Amino acid sequence: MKQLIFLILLLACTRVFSYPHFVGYGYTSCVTCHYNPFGNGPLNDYGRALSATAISARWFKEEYVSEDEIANKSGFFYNQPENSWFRPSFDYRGLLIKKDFGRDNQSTAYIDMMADLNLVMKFFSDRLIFSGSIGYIPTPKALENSTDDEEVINYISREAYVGIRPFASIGLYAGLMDKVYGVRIPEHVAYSRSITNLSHNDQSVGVQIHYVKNMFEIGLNSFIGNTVQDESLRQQGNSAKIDYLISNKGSVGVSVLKSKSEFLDIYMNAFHFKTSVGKGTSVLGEFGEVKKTAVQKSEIDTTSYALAQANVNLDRGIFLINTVEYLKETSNDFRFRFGPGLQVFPAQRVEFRFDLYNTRTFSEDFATKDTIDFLTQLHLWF
Amino acid sequence: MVLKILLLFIFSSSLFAQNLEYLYRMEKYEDVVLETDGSEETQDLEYQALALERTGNLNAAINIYLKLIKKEFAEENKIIINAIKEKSSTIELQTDKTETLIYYFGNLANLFTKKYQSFNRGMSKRKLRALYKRAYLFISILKLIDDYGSEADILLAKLNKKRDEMSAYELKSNNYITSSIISWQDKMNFAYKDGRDKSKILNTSYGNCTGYGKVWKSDHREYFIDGCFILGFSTISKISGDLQLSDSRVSVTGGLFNIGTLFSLKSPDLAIGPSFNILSVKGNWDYPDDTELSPTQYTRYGLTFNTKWYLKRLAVISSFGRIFKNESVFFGVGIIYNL
Repeated sequence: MKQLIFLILLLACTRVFSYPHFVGYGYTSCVTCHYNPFGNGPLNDYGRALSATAISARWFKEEYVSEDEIANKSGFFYNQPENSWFRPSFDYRGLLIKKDFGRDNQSTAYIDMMADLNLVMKFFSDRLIFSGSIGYIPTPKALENSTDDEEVINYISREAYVGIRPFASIGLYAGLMDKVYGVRIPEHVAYSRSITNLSHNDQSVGVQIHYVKNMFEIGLNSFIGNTVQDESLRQQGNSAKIDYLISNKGSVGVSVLKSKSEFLDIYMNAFHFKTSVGKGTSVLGEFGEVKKTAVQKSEIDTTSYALAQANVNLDRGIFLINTVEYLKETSNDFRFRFGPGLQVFPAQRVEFRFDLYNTRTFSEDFATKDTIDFLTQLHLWF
Repeated sequence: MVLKILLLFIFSSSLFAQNLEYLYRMEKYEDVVLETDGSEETQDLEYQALALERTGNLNAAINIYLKLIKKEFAEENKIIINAIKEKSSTIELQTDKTETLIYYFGNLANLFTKKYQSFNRGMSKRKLRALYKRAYLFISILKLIDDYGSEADILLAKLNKKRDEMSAYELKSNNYITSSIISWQDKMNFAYKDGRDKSKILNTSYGNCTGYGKVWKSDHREYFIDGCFILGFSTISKISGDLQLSDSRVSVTGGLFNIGTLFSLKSPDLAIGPSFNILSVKGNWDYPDDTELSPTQYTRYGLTFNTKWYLKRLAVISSFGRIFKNESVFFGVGIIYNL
């Protein structure tokens, strides 16, 4: 049970703070707000100002405080950047999870999921970027009381890359980054993130090309795996993502990824979309298939997944999130998961999330109880 | 003597007019209305109309301008009405007080537009249409007169904006067909007939629900009612304890009735809201002769939260909630096609 809780915590952990559902504000591309053009990682100056003035509520601001003043204080620890090249940031996420919510066997756990220090150095009007992070990851529950001498590592780097962007339309990035594939929703517990092995700690060293012009946004990624992993486990391969932009309303696209290690071949593809449906409100989805082949057995496990998410902006700083997910693995069994949630930004640098995940498994042989988990998340960034 | 009286009259009229202008400028509109009450003088009536407009008494102001037109411009009024009837594109007014007449028409167009703009959603559609017509008439008159087209266009834009706003609140009915994948869970009683043992057994069901519905929808809100026929499958299992049973892909039939209201907060294309549901199902499970399973048929009530995303005539809908007395949640994902 504890391992399960930990797994969910790990999957639910996320470090992005500008989300794909902000397409509801007309932002179809991640590059507008992030240094990393495919999202994740620290926000750029514009992204920080936007999150302060358009996304977060003004509950603790006096009426006379202008949006410009709020934007000016959106930098590191409430300061305006003193130079054009040095951008530190700090990010914390804590999660309170209630498993089997509302049942007699309900269990509760609080986890400090992450505490990341990010540093971005940028030069030549952001044409040259160095980005790196070092952060805390919690000790796995299974190892907390372990008497083994095995060393527990509580730090991780999820990003360490250099980016060159000679023109606004094209950029070349090399280093440790998330792989280019699908819609990077923040819920790493989602099947579209976990089944695809594109979760919280699944970064890979590689080279990425980002191209955005006219109606197309294209990403190409060649990767060699994560160097902290055992060499035999490292997935090496390529991925590509093409999005067709529908003015400032959204995009439709496809992604494909092929990789292999000594033990496992992976091929996956997905269709995805995200669209604005009124100010701050959006619908996004991803439908994909993952084929994993055990090299030695030549057995192919095919998994299909679907995700649809409606994000309704109730008021400035408040979003109602309604997620529907589907998962079908090689057997005839399949799963549906409904995840209604509330996302609240009461002030800049503060985010609360309240999510209920109800998962139902349909089996030919058994009727199984739904799993119901309630997650409360606190996210702070400076 | 006559000259003296005439001079006194002119002087006092002039003083009186100056007094009205002073009061009006001092924003003492009630005083202007009181001072001019009962007067038939054109200038007094003009000030009275302006003051009434300022105090929000639009109807009274309109009546004064209509009275002034009848009194001062009866002939021109006929020409204009004829021009409107004949759908002329321009009009030439033969009067030495053209500016005054245009001033009256302009004020009438403005007052009727203001009156229309002040109407709220509680007003009857008939009244609203009549008022729109009258405002449109005076704006059309302005348009007929050279040099006033742009002012008329501004008023017309205001008028139409309000009309569109009102129309966004107007509920329009529509029929639709719906097809969803739905799922529910319940616990059944499983027992030996002789009463020696009994237990609860979990049942997971899912299926397709296809049906018909009606929606009354505005850009901000909708009310809907629909019903669908369920064709589904059920799996029951209990494999622990002495009393065991497992039966899968059991045929389940039934009906689902929904009535609810949805709200569109930012766009008419996405709506969320609650609905009341009645679920009635019947299954054909196999179980040993010396046992009994119940209920194999039931009707239960529930509440769900719905999200509907419109893609022109098509809509995607998801529902999530509780059927009371059932185990866990009820949910559905489906499409709607508006006929």
